[in-house]
Amino acid sequence: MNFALTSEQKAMQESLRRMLDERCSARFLHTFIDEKKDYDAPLWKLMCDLGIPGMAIPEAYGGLGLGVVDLALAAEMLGRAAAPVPLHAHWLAAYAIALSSDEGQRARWLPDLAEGRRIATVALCEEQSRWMPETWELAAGANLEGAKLYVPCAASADLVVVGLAGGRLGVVDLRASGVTVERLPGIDRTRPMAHLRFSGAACELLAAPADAASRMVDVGLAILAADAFGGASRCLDMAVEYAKVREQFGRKFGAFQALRHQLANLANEVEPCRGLYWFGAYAQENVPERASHAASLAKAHIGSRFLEAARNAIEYHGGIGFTWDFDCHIWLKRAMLDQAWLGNADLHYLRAAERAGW
Amino acid sequence: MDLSYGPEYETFRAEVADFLARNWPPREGDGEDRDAQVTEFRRRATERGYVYRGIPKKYGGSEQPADLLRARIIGEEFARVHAPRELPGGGVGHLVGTLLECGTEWQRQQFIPKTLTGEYFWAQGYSEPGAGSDLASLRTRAELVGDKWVINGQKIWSSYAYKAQYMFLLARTEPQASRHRGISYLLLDLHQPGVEIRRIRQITGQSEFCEVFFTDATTPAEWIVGNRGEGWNISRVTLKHERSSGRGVDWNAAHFSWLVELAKRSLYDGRPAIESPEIRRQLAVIQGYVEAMRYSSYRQVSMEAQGEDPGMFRSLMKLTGSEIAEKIAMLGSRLVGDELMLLDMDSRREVRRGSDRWVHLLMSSLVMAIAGGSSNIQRNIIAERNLGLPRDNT
Repeated sequence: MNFALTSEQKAMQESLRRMLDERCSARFLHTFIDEKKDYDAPLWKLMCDLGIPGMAIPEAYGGLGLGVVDLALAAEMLGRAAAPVPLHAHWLAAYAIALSSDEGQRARWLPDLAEGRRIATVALCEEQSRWMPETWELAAGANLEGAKLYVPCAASADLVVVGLAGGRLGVVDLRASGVTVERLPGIDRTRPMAHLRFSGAACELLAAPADAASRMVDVGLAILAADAFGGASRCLDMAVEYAKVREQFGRKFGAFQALRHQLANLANEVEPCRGLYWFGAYAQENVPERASHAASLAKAHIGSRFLEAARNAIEYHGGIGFTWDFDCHIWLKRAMLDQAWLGNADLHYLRAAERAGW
Repeated sequence: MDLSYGPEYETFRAEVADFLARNWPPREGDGEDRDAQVTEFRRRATERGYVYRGIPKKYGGSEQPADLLRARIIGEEFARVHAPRELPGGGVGHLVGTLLECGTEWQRQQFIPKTLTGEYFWAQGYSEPGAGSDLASLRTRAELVGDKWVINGQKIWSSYAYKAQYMFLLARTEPQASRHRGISYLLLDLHQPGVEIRRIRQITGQSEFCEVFFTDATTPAEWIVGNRGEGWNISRVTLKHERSSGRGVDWNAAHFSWLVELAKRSLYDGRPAIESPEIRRQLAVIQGYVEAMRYSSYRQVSMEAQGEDPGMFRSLMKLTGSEIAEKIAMLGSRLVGDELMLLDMDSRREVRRGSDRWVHLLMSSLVMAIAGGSSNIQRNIIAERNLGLPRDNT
């Protein structure tokens, strides 16, 4: 048994961390969110140079051929940095297409996605939080009629993998006719979203196995859990740093026991989540019978810890934490998206309970 | 990352399981007396190298090379069938490791073998009424008079002192020295006129804890461990061999599985509680914490096995474990319903079943948050050592 990272995995996380520290500073993020863009093109280009968009795409199609654990480790770093690049949904779309048994489909889309020449996203949610494949109602067919909600980066992406009734998956060209993109006033401006309305949009059904959609969603849950862990640990770090510099009553914040204990409690909520998200990702390819349970539990648990950590970090900073120009709110809004996207904690705690066999 | 143990370790696991299948629980013919059965089982487990692994054979241990994964497998397999491992208590938990590191050869030979078998049972004499979390302020004094230490003062929270023969204690021997430097680590025979032991009744009705009063109690001059004034540091020595045992994880996992069983047989809103979305959600919330601790501990064991520093989690484990125990106990207390109002607190039974277990656990799980460095002390340690925050100097 060895539940530790390989030297390659550590090096990958470290190089991503360094690159994001440099190219995705808080100052950069403040400018970005005020510009209201879909994503940062220079940062996307850097990610492409490192092969990040194609991390889990097989090498035969130009990807790095890595696994879900590697995606999650990268997602932790993206969450930590609040990186405004549409990687989560892009990875999921590529993951679904790679499950297709049709060589023509894989060869047509994957090389472009691996290199990041085209950006893909996923359209999953329907009215009333219907995120899970068994609840999708949009009818499968060569032409789609209906709507999909909360689609990341839809206004800039090139193609979308759409969840369809019966848990099927289809690919739609977002530039083709019959697709309307309705931009949303998203809370998390590092990951903008849109609703999609289809009126006769051409759709190519993926020749994927029956469980492809649920596998893709489970991978998505594991990735969001990792993102949430990265964000939560950033919130902890921000609060700890503040405790070391802020002085009141003639003492550093960190010297007040009440405040030290708040931070110790925050650490106690956040740090153990690392192992949980690792297993959530590991289970996807290594323990299939527990993949759904591990993914839902990690998403529900860590998503909740992130939201608490982000709120606590703001409260800890006092008035300055409540200002637009201060950094904390960027991660609070990441936490709000991580909590809701793919279904909130209520949905996933109950799904975990069901998958636990209770 | 690979959570399978591989053929070598799976063979080892099968050997452990086979040993347990043949030896635990005790069979007819293993004797009537439960204590004797456990002692005999522990002797066999030592012979096989499953317990006392870090202790040399010449002192009665099994002297196995440090192997965190084997230790983990032994922990998992023994926990699965509720088999006893090392003798509980401070004798094995603290004193033996301390003597191995700091004791003289005659002290090791004299005390370790019989401590491992349980023939010598030890009480711990650290806390005092005025020295709990601030242990270094302790005031029990020992004076060297001729070839004996003469001890006066009071200790408290000594578990099972009423049935112990010996005590290892911290006493102030150098009153002029600064707080930490004035303390020595002494061994003492409790069976003497200068020692009075009073049992303390706990909130559960049980009386494991004791107060111990010393009035000119004596102990031989050479029953000091280490040098005079070094007692503070000596009391902090622990056996480093395979120290990541993951016992907190095993405890929480076992209690969580019992909690799920409880939910299956309890009613909530007139239906089995396990069918209630509210209860299912609460169980999943707790499972999130239990599994987070489990996999973080796997990570820690794996990294330490490779000589790497797992970081903050080591310091968090006690606090994490205590808080999970509280969550488990609190949900259990809801599921037992009206029976939460009932407990025979005069009972001397140790093993508790049915709703008694949960009523008892609501109280006894507090021990985890209090004993061995309270949760607030853990928070101080985390803040200072792991988060790098300044000390509170008011």
